[in-house]
Amino acid sequence: MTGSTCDRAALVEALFDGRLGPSERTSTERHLKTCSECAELLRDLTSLQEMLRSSTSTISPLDHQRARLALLRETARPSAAKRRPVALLIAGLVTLPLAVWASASMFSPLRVREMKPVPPAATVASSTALPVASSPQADEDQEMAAPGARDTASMPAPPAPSSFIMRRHPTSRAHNAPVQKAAPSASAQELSQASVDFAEAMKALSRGDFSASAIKLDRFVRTHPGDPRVEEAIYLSAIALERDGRSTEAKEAARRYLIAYPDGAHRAQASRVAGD
Amino acid sequence: MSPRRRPDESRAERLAQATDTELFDGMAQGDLGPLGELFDRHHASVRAFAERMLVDSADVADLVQETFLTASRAAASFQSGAAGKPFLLGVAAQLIRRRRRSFARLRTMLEALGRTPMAPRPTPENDLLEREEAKLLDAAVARLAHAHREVILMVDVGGLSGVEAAKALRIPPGTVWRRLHEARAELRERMKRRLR
Repeated sequence: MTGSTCDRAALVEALFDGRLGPSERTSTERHLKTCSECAELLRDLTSLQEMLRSSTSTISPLDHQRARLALLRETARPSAAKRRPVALLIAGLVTLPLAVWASASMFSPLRVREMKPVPPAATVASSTALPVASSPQADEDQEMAAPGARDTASMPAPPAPSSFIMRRHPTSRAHNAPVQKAAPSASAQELSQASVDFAEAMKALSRGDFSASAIKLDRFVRTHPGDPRVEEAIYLSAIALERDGRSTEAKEAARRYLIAYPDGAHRAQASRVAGD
Repeated sequence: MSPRRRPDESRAERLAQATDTELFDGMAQGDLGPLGELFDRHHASVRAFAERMLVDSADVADLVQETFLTASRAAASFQSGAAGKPFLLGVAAQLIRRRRRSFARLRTMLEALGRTPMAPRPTPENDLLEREEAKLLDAAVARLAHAHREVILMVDVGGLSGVEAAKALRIPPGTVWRRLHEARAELRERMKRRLR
Protein backbone atom coordinates (compact mmCIF):
# COMPACT_ATOMS: atom_id res chain seq x y z
CA MET A 1 0.00 0.00 0.00
CA THR A 2 1.69 3.17 -1.04
CA GLY A 3 -0.65 6.03 -1.71
CA SER A 4 -1.72 6.74 1.85
CA THR A 5 -5.28 7.88 2.11
CA CYS A 6 -5.21 8.70 5.81
CA ASP A 7 -4.98 12.43 6.32
CA ARG A 8 -2.46 11.95 9.10
CA ALA A 9 0.08 10.26 6.82
CA ALA A 10 2.07 13.48 6.52
CA LEU A 11 2.27 13.67 10.31
CA VAL A 12 3.58 10.13 10.43
CA GLU A 13 6.37 11.01 8.05
CA ALA A 14 7.09 14.15 10.06
CA LEU A 15 7.25 12.00 13.18
CA PHE A 16 9.68 9.69 11.41
CA ASP A 17 11.86 12.69 10.55
CA GLY A 18 11.73 13.99 14.10
CA ARG A 19 10.16 17.31 13.25
CA LEU A 20 7.07 17.15 15.44
CA GLY A 21 6.62 19.00 18.67
CA PRO A 22 5.93 17.04 21.87
CA SER A 23 2.13 17.29 21.76
CA GLU A 24 1.82 16.43 18.07
CA ARG A 25 4.21 13.58 18.60
CA THR A 26 2.12 12.11 21.38
CA SER A 27 -1.10 12.35 19.39
CA THR A 28 0.47 10.88 16.26
CA GLU A 29 1.94 8.01 18.24
CA ARG A 30 -1.50 7.37 19.66
CA HIS A 31 -2.98 7.48 16.16
CA LEU A 32 -0.45 4.92 14.96
CA LYS A 33 -1.84 2.37 17.39
CA THR A 34 -5.25 2.49 15.77
CA CYS A 35 -4.53 3.22 12.09
CA SER A 36 -3.06 0.21 10.32
CA GLU A 37 -2.35 2.21 7.20
CA CYS A 38 -0.20 4.71 9.05
CA ALA A 39 1.50 1.93 10.99
CA GLU A 40 2.40 0.34 7.67
CA LEU A 41 3.71 3.65 6.37
CA LEU A 42 5.98 4.00 9.37
CA ARG A 43 7.25 0.43 8.93
CA ASP A 44 7.90 1.11 5.25
CA LEU A 45 9.78 4.32 5.95
CA THR A 46 11.90 2.58 8.56
CA SER A 47 12.78 -0.42 6.45
CA LEU A 48 13.39 1.75 3.40
CA GLN A 49 15.89 3.78 5.36
CA GLU A 50 17.54 0.65 6.74
CA MET A 51 17.84 -0.87 3.30
CA LEU A 52 19.22 2.32 1.84
CA ARG A 53 21.84 2.52 4.55
CA SER A 54 22.81 -1.14 4.50
CA SER A 55 23.36 -1.33 0.78
CA THR A 56 26.01 1.34 0.92
CA SER A 57 29.27 -0.20 -0.12
CA THR A 58 32.23 -0.05 2.18
CA ILE A 59 35.79 0.82 1.30
CA SER A 60 38.69 -1.30 2.50
CA PRO A 61 41.20 0.28 4.88
CA LEU A 62 43.78 -0.07 2.14
CA ASP A 63 41.70 1.85 -0.36
CA HIS A 64 40.98 4.41 2.32
CA GLN A 65 44.69 4.98 2.90
CA ARG A 66 45.34 5.15 -0.82
CA ALA A 67 42.61 7.71 -1.32
CA ARG A 68 43.86 9.70 1.64
CA LEU A 69 47.40 9.74 0.38
CA ALA A 70 46.25 10.70 -3.09
CA LEU A 71 44.31 13.60 -1.62
CA LEU A 72 47.23 14.85 0.43
CA ARG A 73 49.55 14.45 -2.50
CA GLU A 74 47.17 16.54 -4.54
CA THR A 75 47.27 19.39 -2.02
CA ALA A 76 51.04 19.35 -2.22
CA ARG A 77 51.06 20.04 -5.93
CA PRO A 78 52.85 23.31 -6.65
CA SER A 79 50.04 25.06 -8.52
CA ALA A 80 46.51 24.60 -9.67
CA ALA A 81 47.57 24.84 -13.29
CA LYS A 82 49.74 21.77 -12.92
CA ARG A 83 47.18 19.87 -11.00
CA ARG A 84 46.07 17.23 -13.45
CA PRO A 85 48.30 17.06 -16.43
CA VAL A 86 47.20 13.53 -17.30
CA ALA A 87 43.50 14.27 -16.95
CA LEU A 88 43.90 17.43 -19.00
CA LEU A 89 45.83 15.56 -21.63
CA ILE A 90 43.18 12.88 -21.91
CA ALA A 91 40.47 15.52 -21.95
CA GLY A 92 42.31 17.32 -24.71
CA LEU A 93 42.90 14.19 -26.72
CA VAL A 94 39.27 13.21 -26.54
CA THR A 95 37.76 16.63 -26.97
CA LEU A 96 39.91 18.05 -29.70
CA PRO A 97 39.20 15.48 -32.45
CA LEU A 98 35.54 15.55 -31.54
CA ALA A 99 35.45 19.30 -31.74
CA VAL A 100 37.31 19.31 -35.02
CA TRP A 101 35.05 16.64 -36.39
CA ALA A 102 32.00 18.48 -35.17
CA SER A 103 33.10 21.75 -36.70
CA ALA A 104 33.87 20.02 -39.97
CA SER A 105 30.54 18.29 -40.16
CA MET A 106 27.46 19.72 -38.63
CA PHE A 107 27.87 22.33 -35.97
CA SER A 108 27.65 26.03 -36.45
CA PRO A 109 30.71 27.94 -35.24
CA LEU A 110 28.78 29.16 -32.23
CA ARG A 111 27.83 25.65 -31.21
CA VAL A 112 31.38 24.43 -31.53
CA ARG A 113 32.65 27.22 -29.33
CA GLU A 114 30.28 26.05 -26.68
CA MET A 115 31.33 22.42 -27.02
CA LYS A 116 35.03 22.83 -27.25
CA PRO A 117 35.93 23.30 -23.62
CA VAL A 118 33.84 20.38 -22.50
CA PRO A 119 35.91 17.33 -21.70
CA PRO A 120 34.20 14.03 -20.93
CA ALA A 121 32.33 13.82 -17.69
CA ALA A 122 35.08 11.84 -16.06
CA THR A 123 37.53 14.67 -16.25
CA VAL A 124 35.62 17.86 -16.60
CA ALA A 125 35.17 18.94 -13.03
CA SER A 126 38.62 17.91 -11.98
CA SER A 127 40.23 20.08 -14.59
CA THR A 128 38.79 23.27 -13.23
CA ALA A 129 40.59 25.00 -10.46
CA LEU A 130 37.72 26.37 -8.39
CA PRO A 131 34.52 24.58 -9.29
CA VAL A 132 32.45 26.10 -6.53
CA ALA A 133 33.48 29.68 -7.03
CA SER A 134 33.17 29.66 -10.78
CA SER A 135 29.91 27.78 -10.94
CA PRO A 136 27.44 29.43 -13.27
CA GLN A 137 24.13 30.13 -11.67
CA ALA A 138 22.13 29.46 -14.82
CA ASP A 139 21.48 26.03 -13.45
CA GLU A 140 18.24 24.22 -14.10
CA ASP A 141 17.64 24.55 -10.41
CA GLN A 142 18.16 28.15 -9.47
CA GLU A 143 17.91 27.56 -5.78
CA MET A 144 20.95 25.35 -5.87
CA ALA A 145 24.28 26.80 -4.94
CA ALA A 146 27.32 25.47 -3.19
CA PRO A 147 27.44 26.01 0.52
CA GLY A 148 29.29 29.22 0.99
CA ALA A 149 29.34 29.97 -2.72
CA ARG A 150 28.80 33.63 -1.96
CA ASP A 151 31.96 33.79 0.05
CA THR A 152 34.19 31.74 -2.17
CA ALA A 153 34.66 34.23 -4.96
CA SER A 154 37.61 35.69 -3.14
CA MET A 155 38.76 32.34 -1.91
CA PRO A 156 42.54 32.15 -1.63
CA ALA A 157 44.41 29.71 -3.79
CA PRO A 158 45.59 26.63 -1.95
CA PRO A 159 48.85 27.31 -0.21
CA ALA A 160 51.52 25.99 -2.47
CA PRO A 161 53.30 23.40 -1.72
CA SER A 162 51.76 22.39 1.52
CA SER A 163 54.15 21.91 4.33
CA PHE A 164 51.69 19.64 6.06
CA ILE A 165 52.29 16.58 4.00
CA MET A 166 55.89 16.71 5.04
CA ARG A 167 55.22 17.25 8.67
CA ARG A 168 52.71 14.63 9.45
CA HIS A 169 52.75 11.02 8.58
CA PRO A 170 49.43 10.66 6.82
CA THR A 171 48.86 7.14 8.01
CA SER A 172 50.48 7.28 11.40
CA ARG A 173 47.24 7.44 13.33
CA ALA A 174 45.85 4.47 11.49
CA HIS A 175 48.58 1.98 12.10
CA ASN A 176 51.29 3.51 14.24
CA ALA A 177 54.00 2.70 11.78
CA PRO A 178 57.52 2.96 13.09
CA VAL A 179 58.78 5.76 10.92
CA GLN A 180 62.32 6.95 10.82
CA LYS A 181 62.06 10.63 11.64
CA ALA A 182 64.30 13.33 10.35
CA ALA A 183 64.87 16.47 12.31
CA PRO A 184 61.57 18.35 12.18
CA SER A 185 63.43 21.53 11.25
CA ALA A 186 63.59 20.72 7.56
CA SER A 187 63.61 23.91 5.55
CA ALA A 188 61.02 24.78 2.93
CA GLN A 189 63.69 24.24 0.29
CA GLU A 190 64.20 20.63 1.33
CA LEU A 191 60.47 20.07 1.55
CA SER A 192 59.80 21.07 -1.99
CA GLN A 193 62.81 19.06 -3.13
CA ALA A 194 61.18 15.98 -1.58
CA SER A 195 58.02 16.70 -3.51
CA VAL A 196 59.96 17.07 -6.74
CA ASP A 197 61.86 13.85 -6.15
CA PHE A 198 58.75 11.93 -5.30
CA ALA A 199 56.88 13.30 -8.29
CA GLU A 200 59.73 12.27 -10.59
CA ALA A 201 59.71 8.75 -9.23
CA MET A 202 55.95 8.56 -9.70
CA LYS A 203 56.23 9.91 -13.20
CA ALA A 204 58.75 7.23 -14.13
CA LEU A 205 56.49 4.62 -12.60
CA SER A 206 53.41 5.79 -14.46
CA ARG A 207 55.18 5.81 -17.82
CA GLY A 208 56.30 2.23 -17.18
CA ASP A 209 59.96 2.99 -16.68
CA PHE A 210 60.27 0.65 -13.73
CA SER A 211 64.01 0.58 -13.59
CA ALA A 212 64.33 4.38 -13.37
CA SER A 213 61.44 4.53 -10.96
CA ALA A 214 63.06 1.99 -8.63
CA ILE A 215 66.25 4.04 -8.59
CA LYS A 216 64.40 7.28 -7.93
CA LEU A 217 62.27 5.75 -5.21
CA ASP A 218 65.31 4.28 -3.51
CA ARG A 219 67.06 7.63 -3.70
CA PHE A 220 63.95 9.31 -2.30
CA VAL A 221 63.89 6.99 0.71
CA ARG A 222 67.56 7.63 1.44
CA THR A 223 67.46 11.38 0.84
CA HIS A 224 64.24 12.13 2.69
CA PRO A 225 64.01 9.54 5.46
CA GLY A 226 61.54 11.60 7.50
CA ASP A 227 59.10 12.24 4.71
CA PRO A 228 55.62 10.80 5.19
CA ARG A 229 55.75 9.34 1.70
CA VAL A 230 58.63 7.05 2.61
CA GLU A 231 56.22 4.24 3.37
CA GLU A 232 54.64 4.60 -0.04
CA ALA A 233 58.05 4.89 -1.68
CA ILE A 234 59.41 1.67 -0.18
CA TYR A 235 56.29 -0.19 -1.17
CA LEU A 236 56.30 1.21 -4.68
CA SER A 237 59.96 0.40 -5.11
CA ALA A 238 59.11 -3.23 -4.41
CA ILE A 239 56.40 -3.06 -7.04
CA ALA A 240 58.66 -1.29 -9.52
CA LEU A 241 61.40 -3.89 -9.03
CA GLU A 242 58.91 -6.68 -9.43
CA ARG A 243 57.60 -5.23 -12.66
CA ASP A 244 61.15 -4.78 -13.80
CA GLY A 245 61.66 -8.53 -13.42
CA ARG A 246 64.13 -8.18 -10.53
CA SER A 247 62.28 -10.48 -8.18
CA THR A 248 65.08 -10.95 -5.64
CA GLU A 249 65.45 -7.22 -5.14
CA ALA A 250 61.68 -6.83 -5.16
CA LYS A 251 61.41 -9.38 -2.37
CA GLU A 252 64.07 -7.56 -0.37
CA ALA A 253 62.26 -4.25 -0.76
CA ALA A 254 58.93 -5.82 0.19
CA ARG A 255 60.50 -7.36 3.31
CA ARG A 256 62.06 -4.04 4.19
CA TYR A 257 58.59 -2.53 3.92
CA LEU A 258 57.04 -5.21 6.12
CA ILE A 259 59.70 -4.80 8.79
CA ALA A 260 59.34 -1.01 8.86
CA TYR A 261 55.56 -1.05 8.56
CA PRO A 262 54.19 -4.31 9.97
CA ASP A 263 50.75 -2.73 10.05
CA GLY A 264 51.23 -0.66 6.91
CA ALA A 265 48.49 0.02 4.43
CA HIS A 266 50.21 -2.08 1.77
CA ARG A 267 51.13 -5.04 3.93
CA ALA A 268 48.96 -7.50 2.03
CA GLN A 269 50.49 -6.65 -1.32
CA ALA A 270 53.96 -6.44 0.19
CA SER A 271 53.57 -9.92 1.67
CA ARG A 272 52.62 -11.20 -1.74
CA VAL A 273 55.72 -9.67 -3.32
CA ALA A 274 57.90 -10.88 -0.48
CA GLY A 275 56.52 -14.35 -1.06
CA ASP A 276 55.76 -14.90 2.62
CA MET B 1 62.04 19.00 31.36
CA SER B 2 58.86 17.19 30.52
CA PRO B 3 59.12 14.01 28.46
CA ARG B 4 59.67 14.92 24.84
CA ARG B 5 57.08 13.96 22.32
CA ARG B 6 57.45 13.90 18.63
CA PRO B 7 55.93 17.09 17.32
CA ASP B 8 53.75 15.39 14.72
CA GLU B 9 52.48 12.82 17.16
CA SER B 10 50.98 15.44 19.44
CA ARG B 11 49.77 17.28 16.38
CA ALA B 12 47.98 14.18 15.12
CA GLU B 13 46.39 13.74 18.51
CA ARG B 14 45.32 17.35 18.60
CA LEU B 15 43.75 17.01 15.19
CA ALA B 16 41.95 13.85 16.19
CA GLN B 17 40.35 15.71 19.07
CA ALA B 18 39.53 18.89 17.18
CA THR B 19 35.96 19.73 16.22
CA ASP B 20 35.03 20.01 12.56
CA THR B 21 34.92 23.80 13.00
CA GLU B 22 38.48 23.83 14.33
CA LEU B 23 39.62 21.71 11.39
CA PHE B 24 38.00 24.08 8.91
CA ASP B 25 39.41 27.09 10.77
CA GLY B 26 42.89 25.64 10.42
CA MET B 27 42.41 25.07 6.72
CA ALA B 28 40.99 28.57 6.26
CA GLN B 29 44.25 29.91 7.67
CA GLY B 30 46.20 28.03 5.05
CA ASP B 31 47.15 24.99 7.11
CA LEU B 32 46.17 21.87 5.23
CA GLY B 33 47.10 19.62 8.14
CA PRO B 34 43.50 19.11 9.22
CA LEU B 35 42.48 17.88 5.77
CA GLY B 36 43.61 14.31 6.39
CA GLU B 37 41.68 14.19 9.62
CA LEU B 38 38.60 15.58 7.93
CA PHE B 39 38.97 12.96 5.22
CA ASP B 40 39.14 10.16 7.80
CA ARG B 41 36.00 11.41 9.47
CA HIS B 42 33.80 11.97 6.47
CA HIS B 43 35.11 10.23 3.39
CA ALA B 44 32.74 7.28 3.80
CA SER B 45 29.69 9.54 3.80
CA VAL B 46 30.88 11.53 0.81
CA ARG B 47 31.68 8.33 -0.99
CA ALA B 48 28.30 6.76 -0.29
CA PHE B 49 26.63 9.89 -1.57
CA ALA B 50 28.79 10.09 -4.71
CA GLU B 51 28.29 6.42 -5.55
CA ARG B 52 24.59 6.85 -5.93
CA MET B 53 24.64 10.28 -7.49
CA LEU B 54 27.12 9.66 -10.27
CA VAL B 55 26.38 8.15 -13.64
CA ASP B 56 29.75 6.51 -13.94
CA SER B 57 31.02 4.66 -10.89
CA ALA B 58 34.57 5.13 -12.14
CA ASP B 59 34.24 8.80 -11.21
CA VAL B 60 33.53 8.18 -7.54
CA ALA B 61 37.07 8.24 -6.16
CA ASP B 62 37.86 11.28 -8.24
CA LEU B 63 34.82 13.12 -7.00
CA VAL B 64 35.52 12.26 -3.37
CA GLN B 65 38.99 13.68 -3.70
CA GLU B 66 37.74 16.76 -5.47
CA THR B 67 35.13 17.34 -2.79
CA PHE B 68 37.77 17.46 -0.06
CA LEU B 69 40.11 19.61 -2.12
CA THR B 70 37.33 22.06 -2.88
CA ALA B 71 36.23 22.07 0.76
CA SER B 72 39.78 22.86 1.84
CA ARG B 73 39.85 25.85 -0.49
CA ALA B 74 36.40 26.97 0.55
CA ALA B 75 37.18 26.46 4.23
CA ALA B 76 36.84 30.18 4.94
CA SER B 77 33.15 29.96 4.13
CA PHE B 78 32.53 27.18 6.62
CA GLN B 79 30.05 28.37 9.19
CA SER B 80 31.51 28.19 12.67
CA GLY B 81 29.82 25.61 14.86
CA ALA B 82 28.30 23.73 11.94
CA ALA B 83 28.96 20.05 11.29
CA GLY B 84 31.39 19.11 8.57
CA LYS B 85 29.32 16.47 6.85
CA PRO B 86 26.53 18.71 5.53
CA PHE B 87 29.11 21.12 4.18
CA LEU B 88 31.02 18.36 2.43
CA LEU B 89 27.91 16.74 1.00
CA GLY B 90 26.83 20.17 -0.23
CA VAL B 91 30.16 20.63 -2.01
CA ALA B 92 29.86 17.13 -3.49
CA ALA B 93 26.31 17.86 -4.69
CA GLN B 94 27.46 21.03 -6.39
CA LEU B 95 30.39 19.29 -8.08
CA ILE B 96 28.11 16.52 -9.27
CA ARG B 97 25.71 19.07 -10.74
CA ARG B 98 28.56 20.63 -12.64
CA ARG B 99 29.65 17.29 -14.01
CA ARG B 100 26.13 16.46 -14.91
CA ARG B 101 25.73 19.61 -16.95
CA SER B 102 28.96 18.92 -18.78
CA PHE B 103 27.99 15.33 -19.26
CA ALA B 104 24.63 16.35 -20.66
CA ARG B 105 26.33 18.67 -23.13
CA LEU B 106 28.76 15.99 -24.18
CA ARG B 107 25.95 13.50 -24.56
CA THR B 108 23.98 15.90 -26.72
CA MET B 109 27.01 16.32 -28.90
CA LEU B 110 27.71 12.61 -29.16
CA GLU B 111 24.10 11.85 -29.93
CA ALA B 112 24.13 14.50 -32.62
CA LEU B 113 27.15 12.74 -34.04
CA GLY B 114 25.35 9.42 -34.00
CA ARG B 115 27.48 8.01 -31.23
CA THR B 116 26.26 6.19 -28.17
CA PRO B 117 26.83 8.04 -24.94
CA MET B 118 28.82 6.57 -22.12
CA ALA B 119 27.55 3.34 -20.64
CA PRO B 120 25.09 3.69 -17.78
CA ARG B 121 26.38 3.25 -14.30
CA PRO B 122 27.17 -0.40 -13.74
CA THR B 123 25.92 -2.10 -10.61
CA PRO B 124 28.65 -1.92 -7.96
CA GLU B 125 30.22 -5.29 -7.35
CA ASN B 126 29.40 -5.20 -3.71
CA ASP B 127 28.41 -8.39 -1.96
CA LEU B 128 25.41 -6.81 -0.34
CA LEU B 129 24.13 -5.60 -3.66
CA GLU B 130 24.04 -9.16 -4.90
CA ARG B 131 20.81 -9.45 -3.09
CA GLU B 132 17.98 -8.99 -5.46
CA GLU B 133 16.10 -6.45 -3.41
CA ALA B 134 19.15 -4.35 -2.84
CA LYS B 135 19.71 -4.32 -6.58
CA LEU B 136 16.14 -3.36 -7.08
CA LEU B 137 16.45 -0.57 -4.58
CA ASP B 138 19.65 0.61 -6.17
CA ALA B 139 17.94 0.74 -9.54
CA ALA B 140 14.98 2.53 -8.04
CA VAL B 141 17.25 5.13 -6.45
CA ALA B 142 19.06 5.57 -9.74
CA ARG B 143 15.75 6.29 -11.44
CA LEU B 144 14.78 9.04 -9.03
CA ALA B 145 14.93 12.58 -10.31
CA HIS B 146 18.28 14.15 -9.55
CA ALA B 147 16.90 16.62 -7.00
CA HIS B 148 14.99 13.85 -5.25
CA ARG B 149 17.97 11.56 -5.15
CA GLU B 150 20.16 14.29 -3.67
CA VAL B 151 17.79 14.85 -0.80
CA ILE B 152 17.03 11.25 0.08
CA LEU B 153 20.71 10.32 -0.02
CA MET B 154 21.59 13.18 2.27
CA VAL B 155 18.85 12.48 4.78
CA ASP B 156 18.08 8.77 4.69
CA VAL B 157 21.59 7.57 3.85
CA GLY B 158 23.85 10.39 5.04
CA GLY B 159 21.88 10.91 8.22
CA LEU B 160 21.65 14.68 7.80
CA SER B 161 18.67 16.41 9.35
CA GLY B 162 16.29 18.06 6.93
CA VAL B 163 17.55 21.45 8.05
CA GLU B 164 21.16 20.45 7.48
CA ALA B 165 20.32 19.12 4.02
CA ALA B 166 18.51 22.37 3.24
CA LYS B 167 21.56 24.33 4.23
CA ALA B 168 23.90 22.09 2.28
CA LEU B 169 21.80 22.43 -0.85
CA ARG B 170 20.85 26.06 -0.22
CA ILE B 171 17.18 25.32 -0.53
CA PRO B 172 14.35 26.00 1.93
CA PRO B 173 13.70 23.20 4.46
CA GLY B 174 10.15 22.92 3.15
CA THR B 175 11.53 21.98 -0.26
CA VAL B 176 13.66 19.30 1.37
CA TRP B 177 10.65 17.78 3.13
CA ARG B 178 8.56 17.85 -0.02
CA ARG B 179 11.26 16.24 -2.17
CA LEU B 180 11.99 13.73 0.55
CA HIS B 181 8.35 12.79 0.72
CA GLU B 182 8.09 12.42 -3.06
CA ALA B 183 11.30 10.42 -3.27
CA ARG B 184 10.18 8.05 -0.53
CA ALA B 185 6.75 7.64 -2.08
CA GLU B 186 8.35 6.74 -5.39
CA LEU B 187 10.74 4.26 -3.78
CA ARG B 188 7.92 2.68 -1.79
CA GLU B 189 5.92 2.33 -4.97
CA ARG B 190 8.80 0.71 -6.82
CA MET B 191 9.75 -1.51 -3.91
CA LYS B 192 6.18 -2.54 -3.26
CA ARG B 193 5.87 -5.90 -1.50
CA ARG B 194 9.61 -6.03 -1.00
CA LEU B 195 9.84 -3.87 2.05
CA ARG B 196 9.99 -5.58 5.43
